[in-house]
Amino acid sequence: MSAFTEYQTFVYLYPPRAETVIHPNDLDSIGDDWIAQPKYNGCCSVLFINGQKDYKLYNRHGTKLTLQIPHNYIDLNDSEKYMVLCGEYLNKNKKGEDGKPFNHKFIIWDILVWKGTYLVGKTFEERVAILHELFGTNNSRVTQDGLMLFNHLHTTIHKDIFVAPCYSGYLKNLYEDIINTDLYEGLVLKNLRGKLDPGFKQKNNFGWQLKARKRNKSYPF
Amino acid sequence: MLKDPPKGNLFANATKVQTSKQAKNKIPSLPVTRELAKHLTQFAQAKLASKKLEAQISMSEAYIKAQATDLYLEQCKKEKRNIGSFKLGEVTISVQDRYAKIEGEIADMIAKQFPDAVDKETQYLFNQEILTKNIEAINDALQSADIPQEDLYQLIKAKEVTTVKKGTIDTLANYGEQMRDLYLAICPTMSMSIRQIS
Repeated sequence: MSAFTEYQTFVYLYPPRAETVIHPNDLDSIGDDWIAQPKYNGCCSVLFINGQKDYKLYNRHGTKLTLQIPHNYIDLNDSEKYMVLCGEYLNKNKKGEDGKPFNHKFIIWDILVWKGTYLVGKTFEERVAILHELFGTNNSRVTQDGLMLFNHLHTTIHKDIFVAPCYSGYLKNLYEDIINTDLYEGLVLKNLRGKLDPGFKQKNNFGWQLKARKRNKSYPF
Repeated sequence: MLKDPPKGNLFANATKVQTSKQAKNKIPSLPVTRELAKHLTQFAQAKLASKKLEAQISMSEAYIKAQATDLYLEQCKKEKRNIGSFKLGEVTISVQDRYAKIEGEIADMIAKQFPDAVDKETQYLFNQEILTKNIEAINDALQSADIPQEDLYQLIKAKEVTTVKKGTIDTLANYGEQMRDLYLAICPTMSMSIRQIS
């Protein structure tokens, strides 16, 4: 058990972040123990939910996220203790799957603290299992106008909070499909056996993550 | 003859200034000789290949570092000492007595868990704004106290700095099951070098 397992008071934790970029053509040769999550074009954020009391939404640099509107995040927490979730806060006016701006949504892609326990040493597979147990894997929502279906988002009880789905196999095809949506920048690949190390500095947990992203000035391919 | 002044809102009727943005965006293409074209193609191909290699290096480096950390900790535990540098195939890995900066609540958390591994000191800094504002008086002598009382109180700022103690890496083996936690908390610099192939 890690010395840092107990998480009872607020301490900012840096989110795990992929540093290494791979060419999209190499996606299919990556190996079976890697899964992919869509890479959303928003602000990489960390949500600290203090039991049923309050929450803090921070960016990946350790300061409070400036461009945000309040959501009822507290309902996501299933205990009186701390829960820390990593996700993408969408505030860049990017267009979603329906071609309309998809703003002020929070998309969860990892869990760092659950029931007051910092999940150091837990594999990504174990953490995804916790997310699935907490939020399910439904990609639809019934609204006043009918059934809303999402291709690359799992819904939660909150209309503005989603969970990133995980994919395996045929990742090149997935990449080609996903980049047609403005909101999706590409894929983040995560090794299922990747164990969570403490996020005490900005560059952390990069050994088990990769990204394949849309072509741009920095990534001309 | 002067034109009649425009009616209505003056701002709305203002003549729009033509910006040169369009012209700026258009990059002219200049003629290229056959020799130059050959080099341009070679440059583009090499640039692409180098990007691919960079990605490959960074991917392998991340993987090697993660594995090297585990192997290093295991060996230190076994030998009950800091093994320092070691070889993995052709690559020499050096774990140095240099550490990442630790700040804020994270520094407190590490200090609480591993009090022997960190040094805490308070640095007193001048508030630059007030220092500049009162530079003459300060220059004459602080004792002459030609400084408003409220400024004096704010003149010196205190900043708490936490650093990892020099030599902590050599004490790692004493931490038993907590070795890995301490290692990840203090993040010693790990460098990788490869023997030059002649």
